[in-house]
Amino acid sequence: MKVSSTYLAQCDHSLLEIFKSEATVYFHWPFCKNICTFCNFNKYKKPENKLGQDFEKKMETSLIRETQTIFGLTRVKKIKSIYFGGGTPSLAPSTTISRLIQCVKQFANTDEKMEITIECNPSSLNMTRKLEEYFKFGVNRVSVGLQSLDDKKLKILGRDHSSNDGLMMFKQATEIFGTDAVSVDLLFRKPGDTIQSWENELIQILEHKPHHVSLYELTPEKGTRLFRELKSGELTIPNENDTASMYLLALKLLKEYSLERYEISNFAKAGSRAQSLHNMSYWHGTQYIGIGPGAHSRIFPLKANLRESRIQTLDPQSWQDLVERNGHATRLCKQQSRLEILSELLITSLRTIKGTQPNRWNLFQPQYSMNDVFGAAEPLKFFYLDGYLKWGMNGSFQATDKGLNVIDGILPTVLNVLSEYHTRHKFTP
Amino acid sequence: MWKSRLIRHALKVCSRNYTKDVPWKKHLLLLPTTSCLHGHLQHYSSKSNSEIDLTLFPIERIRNFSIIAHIDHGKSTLADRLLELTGTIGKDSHEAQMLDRLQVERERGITVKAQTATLVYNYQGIDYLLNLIDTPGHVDFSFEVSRSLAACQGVILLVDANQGVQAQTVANFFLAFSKNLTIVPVMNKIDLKNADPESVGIQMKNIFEFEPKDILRISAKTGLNVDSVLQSIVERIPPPKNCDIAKPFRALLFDSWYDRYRGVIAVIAVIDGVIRSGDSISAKHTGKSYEIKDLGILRPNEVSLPCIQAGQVGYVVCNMRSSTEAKVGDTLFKKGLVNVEEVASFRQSKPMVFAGVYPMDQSETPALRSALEKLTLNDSSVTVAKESSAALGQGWRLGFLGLLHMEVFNQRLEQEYGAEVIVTVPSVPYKIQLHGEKNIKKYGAREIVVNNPAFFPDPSIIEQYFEPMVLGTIITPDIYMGPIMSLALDRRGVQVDSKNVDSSRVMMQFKFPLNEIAVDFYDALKSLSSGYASFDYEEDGFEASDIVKLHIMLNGEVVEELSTVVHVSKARKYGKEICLRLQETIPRQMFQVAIQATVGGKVVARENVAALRKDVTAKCYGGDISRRMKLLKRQAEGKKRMKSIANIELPRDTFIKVLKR
Repeated sequence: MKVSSTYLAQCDHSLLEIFKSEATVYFHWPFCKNICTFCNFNKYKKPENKLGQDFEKKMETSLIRETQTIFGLTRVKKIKSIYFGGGTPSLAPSTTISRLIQCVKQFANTDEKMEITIECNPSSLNMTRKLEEYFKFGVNRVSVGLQSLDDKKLKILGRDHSSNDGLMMFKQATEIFGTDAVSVDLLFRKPGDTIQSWENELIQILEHKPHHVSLYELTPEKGTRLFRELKSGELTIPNENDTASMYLLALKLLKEYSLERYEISNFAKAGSRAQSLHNMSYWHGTQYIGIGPGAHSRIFPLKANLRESRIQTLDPQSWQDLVERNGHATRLCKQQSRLEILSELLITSLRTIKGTQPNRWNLFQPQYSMNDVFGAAEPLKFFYLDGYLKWGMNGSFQATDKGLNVIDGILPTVLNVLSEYHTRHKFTP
Repeated sequence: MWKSRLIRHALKVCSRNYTKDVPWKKHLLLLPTTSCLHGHLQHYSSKSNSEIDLTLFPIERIRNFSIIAHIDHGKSTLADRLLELTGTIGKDSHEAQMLDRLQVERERGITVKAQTATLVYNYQGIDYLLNLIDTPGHVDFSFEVSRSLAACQGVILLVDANQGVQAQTVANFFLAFSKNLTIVPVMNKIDLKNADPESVGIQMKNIFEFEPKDILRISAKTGLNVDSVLQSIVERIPPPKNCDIAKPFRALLFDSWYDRYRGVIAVIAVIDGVIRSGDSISAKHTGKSYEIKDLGILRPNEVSLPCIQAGQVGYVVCNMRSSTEAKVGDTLFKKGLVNVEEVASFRQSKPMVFAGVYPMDQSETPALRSALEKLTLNDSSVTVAKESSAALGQGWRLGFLGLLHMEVFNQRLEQEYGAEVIVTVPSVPYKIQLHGEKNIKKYGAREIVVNNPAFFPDPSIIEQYFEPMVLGTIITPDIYMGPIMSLALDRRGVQVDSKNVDSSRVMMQFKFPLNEIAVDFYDALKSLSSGYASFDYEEDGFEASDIVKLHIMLNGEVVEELSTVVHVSKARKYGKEICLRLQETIPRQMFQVAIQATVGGKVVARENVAALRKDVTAKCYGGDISRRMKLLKRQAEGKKRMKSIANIELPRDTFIKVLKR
């Protein structure tokens, strides 16, 4: 027993080295033309003048500089995917997008077919030309911020496009990138939504046959305009019960259109290659490098065995100044304990249908297996017996369909089981 | 009384300038009497403290009296005025209402602990020693009232000329009447626009049989006719009876408080003989002996004097270490005397209302313990027993004399402790008659008293339950009679008496189970009478009753912490109430939760909590993970503290919301 586990540990060790050399990259473009009332991201309204243009130019330089610096701190040799998010990255000059892709390719190995995604807002001007340019530069996946097909609701949410703009962009993107490479973002529980209106809206969208849908429940976050409008009673959103009905109804409709849920909020056409590999990497614990104001990273630094979590400076101006001075603008850098890494792996991967993969688990924790911890855990008994949690064929730890619907109610117990096991056996934290 | 919302408000207001370090009993400053001689008032005495020589006051020139009144009828204002008129304190002293020393007393305009003051009053050229013995205003403290009255020969019955006779006035009157005290009726606030002395006079005639000509009409606020009160005290109230200065020392201990530097300060009424510093005395009830370290009179702060003699009232300090040693009602006497006759029959106070007290957070247990210890030092009538509840953790079960006593104590506790305290729904003691020799042997008696519903014996061995009853007096404008009757019937009240007190007001008396008025009764009464009805009660023994144990079940499993006892007629209603409250507070689970209230295995109420269908966070990408982790960790910590019953995870908050008043 002992021999075999040592042997396993050795195997895992070399696997871990490979794992540490691979990462994904996220670029954050923090500017928007218009601020959506529900958004709590790190975003700013860009000044529309010469100053703003100069600023954009400097953004590009700083992003490239920060990429170079952070890459140098890690053992990363290969980049598996790139994602441009924001803010509104489609507002950035396309040349910037091109140069950033080139920059990544310069500092690391990449596959020819590496997934490169950009979030596109239907309001950005000259989108057809831009989409074509993106395609030319190597972008091969587009996420369209459609959100709704109801113009009134789009307006209430502060979106600066019509439903028609959204559909137009979806069509153009599909023509340029192909059906598997286009995703649409949808929002439910919008002010004024009813179960019926949501059903109609969703069917209408599904009739356009998207191969990938990201479905988000509108969540009022403190500090947003929407939050204040709800608090003051200016607006109302559907209650919890109706919201549950809307989500369950969406699950049913999406299934009817053969869109499979592969993560809580993400659906891809069955048998297609529409799933987002970049996002999948987050959920399964792959290293990721976040570049730009407020971007997050999880990386194994040089000569360290434990992973660190980094957050870059939020405010674009300060971020730029810091990058200029230090080469990077990391505001917070924390070593993660083994327990923290495992916890993060669990709370993200259990949101996917694949669940937590044993090989990933063993990379992070060769001392004990998932089955050791969760296999016979008393607090989880109920979840197994009532069909919320299960074990996959390959030994992966998974939430069932029913379990995915209530995963937030399960995860705290899973975390407690893990930390209790970890403490009881006196493993190094 | 009051509404609990007001209490919270008052708490907030006062906690700002509340200084913990000042012992509440002692934070009055005695102002030099000279500072008040500015001619605002004519003083009837100009004796400064140092000039008082008690040996100059023979028994015939002593009057011991109390003022009894309904809340807000102006008792404290009158007391202040009497103190001012006799030059005992200065006018416009910094502290309004000198005798209400407790913070909560001043906030609520009620008196809890009796305070005493000695006044010197010059009447027709002769100095009289008047001892004002302040009494608690509520019969909850009837024991305190009666021990205060035991030191008096007369009382001033104060009635608001605007509000008229109230329930508490009646209760207080009968208490004084039953003790054969001389009663001086006084109508206060006659300067108010709405004062109606004529009809209040009629009320006083109808209820108490006072002749209108004997009723003094005053305004304590403006000072109008207050001197007539002093005159009447001298003229109408007799000097202390059965006192003899020639006999050896004997005295009644009728109040005490704890001073952190000097120990117990006991207030006594001397019956026989003289007492001096250095004398040795014994206490009849406790059998302990002490040496007098200091003694004197209260004006209202302590003024040390060489001696106190028969008929007089004063304080003694004699190394009593805790207030439990200073048994109120006990007789003190010269050490070595045998066969001493007790001044008043001694009776241990008996708690009638019980409630659990828990800290909001278990880590605060030591702080709450020390606050409780501090308060019980001063109020020995509160009984304290450790209690631990699986749901609420470690706490205490406190016994109080009555509902007001409980309210006041809890408010003081929160002030002392500086944080919110969880106080459970109050319960009353039940007498239980057992059958079966074996069971009787097991419990030690055929009849046992159980203070906590959790400790009820198995119903199969119970022959009969008895519950405590009270006689409640309600005085109300007659237009509210109907709704009040319905309320009383709903609370299992049985009407005993009803009579008109004047052309528009009635006095109704009901026999109630104490349990039925323990929660919300006063609030309900006030709200359905637009605040006009007044209520008071006195204990009225135990009566056989049909009590059942109500169980609360979650998905078929009994939740012991929520079990309680109720009258059989209330099982359904109360069960429904708890089920609804649980339905509101139990977080949704993955499955449906059935909440049932049962009596003897039969379901009397039922509610459901629907299963959770969706519990997911929309987004979880690279930038969301840290925040998400933080949130889940907090939830995970919370889960560790939850109690699991039938797989249902119940946060402490659920129990608090159901068990709390």
